[in-house]
Amino acid sequence: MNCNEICDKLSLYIDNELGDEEMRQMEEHIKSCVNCQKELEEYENLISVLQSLPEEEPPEGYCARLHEKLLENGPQLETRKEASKIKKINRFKWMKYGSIAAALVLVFLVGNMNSGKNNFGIKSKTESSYDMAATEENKAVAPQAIEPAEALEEYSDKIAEEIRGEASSYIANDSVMLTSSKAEKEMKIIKTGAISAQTEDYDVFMDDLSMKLSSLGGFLESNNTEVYQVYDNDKLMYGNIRIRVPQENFYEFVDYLENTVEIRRKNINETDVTKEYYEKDNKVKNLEVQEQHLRELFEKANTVEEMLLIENELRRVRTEIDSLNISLSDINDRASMSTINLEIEEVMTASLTLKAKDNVWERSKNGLINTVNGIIRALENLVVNIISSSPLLIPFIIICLVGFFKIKKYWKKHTP
Amino acid sequence: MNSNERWLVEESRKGNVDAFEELIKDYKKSAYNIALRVLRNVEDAEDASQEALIKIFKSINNFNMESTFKVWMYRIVVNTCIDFKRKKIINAVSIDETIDLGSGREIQREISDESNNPDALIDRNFSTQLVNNAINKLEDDFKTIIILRDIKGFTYGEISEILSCNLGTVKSRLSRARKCLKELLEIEMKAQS
Repeated sequence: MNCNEICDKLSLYIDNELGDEEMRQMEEHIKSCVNCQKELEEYENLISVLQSLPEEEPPEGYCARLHEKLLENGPQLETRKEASKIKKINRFKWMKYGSIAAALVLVFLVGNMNSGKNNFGIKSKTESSYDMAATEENKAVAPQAIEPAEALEEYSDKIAEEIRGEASSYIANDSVMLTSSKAEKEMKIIKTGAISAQTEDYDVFMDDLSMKLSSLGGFLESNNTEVYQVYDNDKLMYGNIRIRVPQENFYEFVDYLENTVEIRRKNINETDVTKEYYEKDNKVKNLEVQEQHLRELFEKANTVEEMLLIENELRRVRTEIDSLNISLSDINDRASMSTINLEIEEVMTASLTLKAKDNVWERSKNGLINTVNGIIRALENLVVNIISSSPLLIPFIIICLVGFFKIKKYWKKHTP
Repeated sequence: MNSNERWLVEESRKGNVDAFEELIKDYKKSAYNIALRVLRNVEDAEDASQEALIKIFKSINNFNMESTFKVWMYRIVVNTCIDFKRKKIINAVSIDETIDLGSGREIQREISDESNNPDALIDRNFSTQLVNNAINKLEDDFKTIIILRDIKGFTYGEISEILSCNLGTVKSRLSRARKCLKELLEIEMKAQS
């Protein structure tokens, strides 16, 4: 051991904190080395001075003041475990509030992003509800269509008999009532279609559509076109079009649509209204016969009272005939010209699936750009919302802050 | 930890101030002195030591009877004083400067002068005033370990408990602190002569 090592260990040597072997080596060295001996003496002197340093008395009244303070502060009841728990709770408190705040911001942002795309959301909703309505209609229609033709004929016969009986008793004349002739019965089927589709070029499609319609003998009944989104300089159009085509060309037209645009949804409905139609037709014919008889009676009438009665009856029959005729012509119209509701939407690419040539990198890049754009838009909306709602928000925040501090104060008071 | 101390701790836990005062009777003076050495200001020393003692009373339920009460309370005293110093940026007060007691009164620090006692000093090369000066110049870590070991006489094991560090750290830190103190003292002596 050299002198430096000895010097480093003198402190431990003085306190007797070295191992036996080391102590012996130290003793040997110190006996032989004057410098180290001097060093040891200096240390020992220093320590003895330190040990004998006088303690200063606390100032006057120290104990009294301490006593007062101690009376004010009793020991806290919580045990060590509870204290550490509280510490933990406090540590997590800010995390709790922070996470709540973050969640609120996130909800707000997402809400804003969605409201930016609201067009889509609402549209899909109406579509789905429409779908449901359509299927319900289908269900209601289906049993009617299945109903066998004999039942229909039986039914109309029965009605005819009834009417005949009534008429004969009323008129008291054995004139012949005409019943509907079964031979000339023709199926009355109303075809309707609801189609939603996407196209890449709205104007070209519309030109093409009107050409096709004129060649098929159809027409555009209504056309609602609007711009639903603007991308850079491109306006994306959305059209809700009602088309009428002769019923024999209905399927040709649907095929045409399928070939020219990307169909997203197709709903085709055929409703058999034959029974309804001929019921009404029979009614009209019977009423006409009845009218004829009434006219004959009218001519035979002698008193004014009789004439008035017959005239009233005639008017009633005539109104009924007219209303039935109107609904008959409506059925005729709908059966001969089919209706198609076409929702057409202009898109950048006529399909939602990404094209195969877009690799993962491209797609993720696009996705990233979309997300960033969405966030920027959402932040803009956030600023707009905050500013626009500030008249409400500021009083609300003030109330919240006041409430918060009140509660805090209350807790401070009620916790030891 | 003797049974009397244990009983006093139990009583203190119930909120018995008298029992607590009895418990700290022997320690409050040294708590004050530790604070005075660390803070070098009579008022701060009183505030800090009392704060520490109140903290001890308040949290006596957390004392688990495993270590001795002395070690546990000194740990709180040392930590409170160092915290107190950190909170308050203290201008260095030299021991031979006057001490401001507030309201314009200034007193000279009284240090018992042992120079009149030749028996004590003949062997010793250092005067207490020089030692005090040197201690004040030590950094806090060294100062606390010197106070605990050489002034208060704690064992290495107790010091490691009070300072919450391991025995090796205590040994090396104490060595360095004593070396540092000795060097400072030599500088002081040169400056005086």
